[in-house]
Amino acid sequence: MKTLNSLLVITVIALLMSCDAKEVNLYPSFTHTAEVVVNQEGAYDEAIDIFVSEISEAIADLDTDGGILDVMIEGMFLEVTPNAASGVPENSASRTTSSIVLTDWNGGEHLLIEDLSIELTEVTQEVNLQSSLRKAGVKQFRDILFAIAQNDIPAGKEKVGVRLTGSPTPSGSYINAELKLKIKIVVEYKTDI
Amino acid sequence: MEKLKLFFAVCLSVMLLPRPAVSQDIEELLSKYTSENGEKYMQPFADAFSANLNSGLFHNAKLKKMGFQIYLGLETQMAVIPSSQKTMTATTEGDFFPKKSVDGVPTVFGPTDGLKVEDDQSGTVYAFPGGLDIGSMPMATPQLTIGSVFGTNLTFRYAGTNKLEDVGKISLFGWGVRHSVDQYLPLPVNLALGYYNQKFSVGEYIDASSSLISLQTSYSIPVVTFYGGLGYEMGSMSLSYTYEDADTNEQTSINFDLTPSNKIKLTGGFGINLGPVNFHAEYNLAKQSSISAGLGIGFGDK
Repeated sequence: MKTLNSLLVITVIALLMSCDAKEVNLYPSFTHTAEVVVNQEGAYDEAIDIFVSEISEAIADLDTDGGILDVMIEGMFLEVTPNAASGVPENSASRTTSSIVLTDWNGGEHLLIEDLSIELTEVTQEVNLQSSLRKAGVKQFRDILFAIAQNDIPAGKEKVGVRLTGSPTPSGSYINAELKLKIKIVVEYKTDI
Repeated sequence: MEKLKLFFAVCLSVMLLPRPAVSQDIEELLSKYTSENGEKYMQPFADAFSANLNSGLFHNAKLKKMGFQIYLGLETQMAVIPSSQKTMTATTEGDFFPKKSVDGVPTVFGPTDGLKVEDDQSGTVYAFPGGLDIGSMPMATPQLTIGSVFGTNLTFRYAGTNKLEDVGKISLFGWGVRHSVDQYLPLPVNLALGYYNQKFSVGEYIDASSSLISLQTSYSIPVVTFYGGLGYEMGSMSLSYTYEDADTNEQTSINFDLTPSNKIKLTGGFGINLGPVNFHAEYNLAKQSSISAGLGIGFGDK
């Protein structure tokens, strides 16, 4: 039995000798949501703030040790919930044509989605925006997110924004719906294991 | 945390040292692998592990018809990971749309850098995690062979711990039986037929079994024994962990049932006998090849 124990010790030593530290790239992710309730007749124009602090906290929760190499957007969705506001007329629009614009640090606008037709059903639905996204707008968004991740934010700036504009069908009908924008954000960082 | 434990279990098996400080990192390394991609990612590990288990099980085919034979030694194995096992073809998952099939995605043995795929139209990006950049997978097991009764002997392997923090009990147990064929046939070489079965488990995370049917031959001259074999391998590996969605905290049990790719293997090796001390080395040619060397003490075993 002693021989067996000795062999086990040798085995363990052999195993430990083969250990090696590795530097790997990891890709944790989180989903940022921002919502607005559209509650009016005819065309709408709503702004949603995206605060630096919210994004920073979400990234901090990923425990990346600060060595972030890249920030990417994996997907973007719009969750539409009809009749979200109470005490006002019910939704009478069958669909809406909507555009989504990113507002940068200086108020500059970058188109993310243009004239996307969204059916307004009686139940909550999630619309995948991927096939309608504009690459230039997404790149601008990535640059802003990377700046937040690097803590390289223009002095005095606390937020960027997203503007949702659109009109209902039939024209002049009443829209009562919550529009929730979901952005899946992936962070790349390097670490030793 | 469950993913960390699975990784810890894999690391133990791949013979890497886990480091507690990287628990979150490890969770993220495995976090995307919840379906078919996960099976493909871990398949090379199953192949290499199984190849190692089925190596070094014999170093001659000479069995006494009746009489005492014993060998006790340490068998070391190493599966050299070919480049074809370091990458895979994978499909984007999750929120990325449209789905894309991508070549050159790292497996668990692949490069540490992940692979990022950008959709030309939308600018959205899907990132496949990297691997651990491992070129070979070593293993070592104590082994006891004892016989012979009617030209038959038994082989045992055992290693394990009672309970390891985070992953639980680790256990390897194997047994084998082989029977001399040349006792019935006038042959210029020794010939034996063997069957081996081994089970390996790490807590609730890894459960593997492997079997080998082997036709063995050897030819001895003073001090040196040449040996070889033709084998048929069978096996299975189950990997389990609980996946927790970072956004919803929803937990899902993930289970990968893998079948090692090796089927037919050819073994060629030699042994050096210096009194009771035996050193032997062999090469196993298979889809996942391996090399093996052992050192031990034997009596009546040449």
